[in-house]
Amino acid sequence: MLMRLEIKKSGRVTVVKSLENRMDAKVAVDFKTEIGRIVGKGDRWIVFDVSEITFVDSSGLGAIVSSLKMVGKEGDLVIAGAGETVLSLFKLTRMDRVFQMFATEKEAVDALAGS
Amino acid sequence: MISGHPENNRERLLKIVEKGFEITRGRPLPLGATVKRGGINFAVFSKHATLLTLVIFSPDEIEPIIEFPLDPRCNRTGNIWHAFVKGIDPRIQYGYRAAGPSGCDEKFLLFNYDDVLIDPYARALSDGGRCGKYTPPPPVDHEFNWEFDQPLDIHLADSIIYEMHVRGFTIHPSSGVAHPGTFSGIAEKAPYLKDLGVTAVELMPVTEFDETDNLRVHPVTKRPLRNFWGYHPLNFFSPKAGYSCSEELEGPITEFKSMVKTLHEAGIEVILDMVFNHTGEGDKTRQSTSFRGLDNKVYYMMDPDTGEYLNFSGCGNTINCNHPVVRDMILDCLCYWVTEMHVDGFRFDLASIMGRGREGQVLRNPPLLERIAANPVLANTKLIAEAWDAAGLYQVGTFPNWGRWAEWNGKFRDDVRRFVKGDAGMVSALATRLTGSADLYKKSRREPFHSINFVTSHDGFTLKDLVSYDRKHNEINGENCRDGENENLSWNGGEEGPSDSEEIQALRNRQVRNMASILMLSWGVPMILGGDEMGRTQKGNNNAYCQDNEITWVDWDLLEKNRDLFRFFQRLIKFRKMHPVFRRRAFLKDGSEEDLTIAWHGFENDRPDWSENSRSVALCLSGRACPDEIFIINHAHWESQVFEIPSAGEEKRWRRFLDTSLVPPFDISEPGQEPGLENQITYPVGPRSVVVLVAKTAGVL
Repeated sequence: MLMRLEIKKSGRVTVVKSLENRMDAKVAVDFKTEIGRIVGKGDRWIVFDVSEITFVDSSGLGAIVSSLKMVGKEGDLVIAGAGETVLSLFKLTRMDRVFQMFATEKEAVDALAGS
Repeated sequence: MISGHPENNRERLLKIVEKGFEITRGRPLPLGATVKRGGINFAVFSKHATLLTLVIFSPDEIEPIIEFPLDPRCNRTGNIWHAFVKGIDPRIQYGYRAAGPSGCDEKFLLFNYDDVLIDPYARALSDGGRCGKYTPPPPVDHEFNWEFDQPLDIHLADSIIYEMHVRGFTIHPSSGVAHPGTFSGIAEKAPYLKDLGVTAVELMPVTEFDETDNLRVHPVTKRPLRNFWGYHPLNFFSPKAGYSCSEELEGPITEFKSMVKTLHEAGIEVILDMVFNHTGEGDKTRQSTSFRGLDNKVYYMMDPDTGEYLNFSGCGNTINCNHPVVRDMILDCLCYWVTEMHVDGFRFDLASIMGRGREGQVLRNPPLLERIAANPVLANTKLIAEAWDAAGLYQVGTFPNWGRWAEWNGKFRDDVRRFVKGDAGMVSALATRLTGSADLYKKSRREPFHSINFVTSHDGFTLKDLVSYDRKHNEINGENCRDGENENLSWNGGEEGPSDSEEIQALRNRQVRNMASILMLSWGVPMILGGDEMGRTQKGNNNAYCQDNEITWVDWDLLEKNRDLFRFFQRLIKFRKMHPVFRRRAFLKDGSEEDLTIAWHGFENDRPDWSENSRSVALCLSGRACPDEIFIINHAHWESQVFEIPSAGEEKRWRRFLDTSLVPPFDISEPGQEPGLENQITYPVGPRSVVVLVAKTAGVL
């Protein structure tokens, strides 16, 4: 696997943190595969921690959208820790209107834990 | 939390994506949005953009649902940006945003990231100009059951073209069609066109345009005027949605194809009037919709120093036709209309612009025109140039042609108008026009059928108005009558506009028939302005581009009112089809033995009067190519005159096909059933009349 991810569980919430700073075509498939594995286990409340990410291309965005689709209506996938670049990209691409975004991982976990 | 709970947007997005959704590199070719197995490949050209974003809309939504900036390192090959989007609903609509390098020279590049731009290769734009805005196109993967439809391949020499406006043809309530003003409406009228006898319709622009781009108002009603004609294209691949009765995004494509299929079944070809000389983006003050925002410097001609648009079209911009990328786009477009839409030919608006170089210079061998002429897919496609532009370049007879390009013969129009209204010194010119305009087309190594003959077209007076008005009456166009041609070579017969005088009415009816006869019995390809066969009037408006009303709409009640005129056209067409001599494929060769003899006559046999004061000329066609001899008298003088009739030989007798001085129904006979003449020696020709006699073996009808 090319994409290094840190995965931890907090109650019903799974936190997936990217240790890569680029989310592009090279790692998009890995990300989707990992989310698929998590969802396959029945865990559908996912926080994607993007605090290390400084670049996302269209393939990366596509992988995040695809992951949301996998999670489905029975869960949620939210974004945490977006830096300025990722934040503006999400605004530019209107992803901010699709995904809930939290400043920190903790906020995100708290939100999902109580959903 | 940074952003609120976006349930609605999320749900909308999740509706259009599938679980396998992903965005990959994609392919640079073909350009456009191509539906492939499992997804859509997007590819668009921009050399100068540094950021290019694919913008996705849910079906029928105005706001984008999501946008994907393309990575130049991954999603760009050369100057083409591309991506393959897998697992997405093919009913989505899309556009692009583009940004240029920071600090780029705004004289030449006009990027504005706020604009969502139409893909130049888009195949359909929803609801185009009808509401004044475009909505972005869907990717198109169009299936259509053509059954056995194939090109009719009617030889250009055998063609009789009928120019019409899609909406204007059937939008009038009198049309009686189920879907007025649409492609379907034309299909419903196929039996009428077949009955008339034309072999092709030439449709004024059918590609998408914005009807509301006209900013003028009606000077009396103060209501906004529209762009009715459609000579401001937004896109070259998309049939105009407003010409479709379907609400579906792909409806216009299906409906256009159905129309073509129906017309083909009726033996009628479809020629499209394409506007590759400028776009509806207008001058730089107007908002970009496509080309300008994607790559202004490539798509438009501009002054190399100032970046100002060169305006050879008179419409604010000029397409940079001979830039290799633009050339490719035009070729791709033509091939699309031929291969996918089964179109039979094209008329190119202000085609001389297509022979200009990047800085507007007139090219000796324009690559674009050569490529169109030589393109194998277009080998049997009719190519017709409007061989001039709005900057004074006039190439009638000299249009670069490679033996392929035909031309709208503007000189035919002018000379016939002058002759018929009785101008002095027009006899020689008329003789030249009757026999294929050798001065223009033999000289340029072409044949008579490269001359598209016409007396009227959408541009200018209708035939009825040509004999009813001395001057244009364009007041309602809101330009203080500055627009439209001033030199119409028209004559009202003694009173401007409608007249109660029976004498004037009779004169006008005769003049209409005179011009129709000359048009239909000349070598070359006749083109009729739709509606002229039923006496359509535009009330003296000779530039009705902005009149979406009864000025331009064909009033089908006229057909009943002027049944005799329709019959006149119908029989002329039949006569032309019956006698191959009028559809000649080659000029006479100097000095060699020919299968055809043309003998010119005056009042007396063999004594044509070519002098300045002459207003009459007759010709007799005979020989193997013309088994029934045909004698045509063109008499534009205001007094009647007795003409000698040439001898038809002992076994043949002259019969009268038409005499425009006679009152209907005696003005024209059913071809093949012409009544014999008692007097075989002379014929009394009325004032301002055309007479056509045909010699047949005695006893044979």
